[in-house]
Parts: sequence; C-alpha cells; structure tokens
Amino acid sequence: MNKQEFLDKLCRALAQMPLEERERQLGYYEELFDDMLEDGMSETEAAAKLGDPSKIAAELLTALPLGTLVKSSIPPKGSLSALTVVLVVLGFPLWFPLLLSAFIVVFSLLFSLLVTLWAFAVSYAAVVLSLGVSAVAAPIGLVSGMISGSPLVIIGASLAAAGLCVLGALGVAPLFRGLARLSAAICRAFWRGVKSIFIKKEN
Amino acid sequence: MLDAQTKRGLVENCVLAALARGDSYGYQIVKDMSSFVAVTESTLYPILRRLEGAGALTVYSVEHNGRLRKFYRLTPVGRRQLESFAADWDELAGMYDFIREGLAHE
Repeated sequence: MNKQEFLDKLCRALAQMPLEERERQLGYYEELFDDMLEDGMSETEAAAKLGDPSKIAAELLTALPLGTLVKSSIPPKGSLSALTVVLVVLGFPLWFPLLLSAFIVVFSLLFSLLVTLWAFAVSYAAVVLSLGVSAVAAPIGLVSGMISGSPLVIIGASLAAAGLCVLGALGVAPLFRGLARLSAAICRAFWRGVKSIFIKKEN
Repeated sequence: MLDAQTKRGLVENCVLAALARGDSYGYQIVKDMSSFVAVTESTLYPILRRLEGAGALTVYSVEHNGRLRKFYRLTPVGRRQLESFAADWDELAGMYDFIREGLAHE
C-alpha cells in the first residue's frame, strides 16, 4: 500500500467522523507518513508500520460519543425514497419492538450474569463470616452452658471453623477485586458493542 | 500488573516529559519515547488531543520541506501537571525502596 492508498482508505473508513476532526486525523497521518519517508522508509514500509487503516479508523470511531455515531449513521435528508420512508413509518410497530426487545435481551442476559456472580461472591463472604462467628460462639456456648456435648468435639469443631474462616478470608478480597474488574470489563464491552452497531462497515 | 487507568496516566506524563525536553512533533515524540514506553503513532494522537484539550500543550505549525509540520509545546499547566506527577511518584519510589530492601533480607 502506498501513501495515497493508505490515506484514501483511512478517509473512507472515517466517513462517519465530523469533517473537522477527520481532516485533523488525516493531516496527522499524512505528516507521519512524510516524516517516515524522510527518515528513509519506503511507502510500503511506512504503511506497514502505521498499521491497517480500517483498524485505526474503527478504534478512532469507537472513541467518538454515541450521539455523534447515531447521528452520522442516519442517511441525510432526501437520500431516502418516498417508498422507504413510508415503509419505515408503517413498519414502526414491527421493527421498533423487535429492536428494543433484542437490546433488552442482551442487556438482561449480561445483567443477570453479573448479578449471579456477585450473589456467589456475597454468599461466599457470608459463609466465611458464619464460620468465624461459630468458631467464637462455640467455646462461649460451652463455657456458659448454653450448649451441651463433648467439650473435646466442640473445641475441635470450633478450631476447624476458625481455620476454614481464616483460609476463606484470604480469598475474599481477591475475589471481590477480580469481580469488580470483570464487571467493569463487561460494561465496557457492552458499551463498545452498542456503539459498533452505529459504525458502518465498509463494503 | 498495572491497570489500564494507571498505565494511561503514565504514558500521558511520558508525552509531557518528552515535550519538557523541547518542542517536538508526532514522529519525533514516538521515536524518543519508543525505547521506554510502548506507544505507537496511532495511540499517541488521542493522548496529544486530550492533553491539548486540557491545556497542557499548545500546537503550532512550522514549514518544513515545503509542507507543514505540527509542533507541540508544553504549557505552564502541562509543566505543573508533570511536576505534581513526579512528586507523587517520589513517594512511591520511597515505598519501592522499602520493598526492595525487605526482599533483600529474605
């Protein structure tokens, strides 16, 4: 790929970007390209070093606010035929609920996945806590006479509970930290997915 | 493992540090940084834009070989940001030394 091909491809792939911003981007890449040529690289080498223009464009478009993407993905006035407009309007009761339900299905699947994972984490923490409580409560109950039974068995059980509690407690913080990170990653991926619906693919 | 947020802040301050050595342009900044920081031409641009938006740097054009080259200059705001960042990391460096010494004792 030579310089002109690279810039043309990038320009086409950035069609959805507001004009001023797109020109800035193209100017930046053109300057880089010229600097690389001056540095002794061939046009092919420079293009290879900069990377695939469609990938660069996809990354840049995903960084745009959702509103800009939605606006730019709607065809300009007058480009739609009267028939298309009539069909879209008449079909509204059909396509709108379909689109909305697709969105709701994906959203609720992700939401329930996250809720389930957090519920597991919380119940794990609760088990650890109850082990700790029983480890403390058993000897107290024994001394105060509230529970009867072989003192040896009760002390043994209390020690075992204490051990499990300490062991389990070590896992609580990493578990919650990992889960928080995972949740954030899932939310980001979902947002990127929503945006990518409005990024036009090159044909 | 550094999280993405910390890493972005680090790279951003490396760009400021590259400009603290003198005004520079895109390709040169990447060349200066690349042996220390994993940054590419494509990842540099959004950082420059963000820093420009925050008033940490200004942009001007210089003619070079019959074309325009955009130069970036550190502003006082950018310098202050870099200084406060370095001060924060001085504190971290102290902790790091403490950790290394602890490790040396086995």
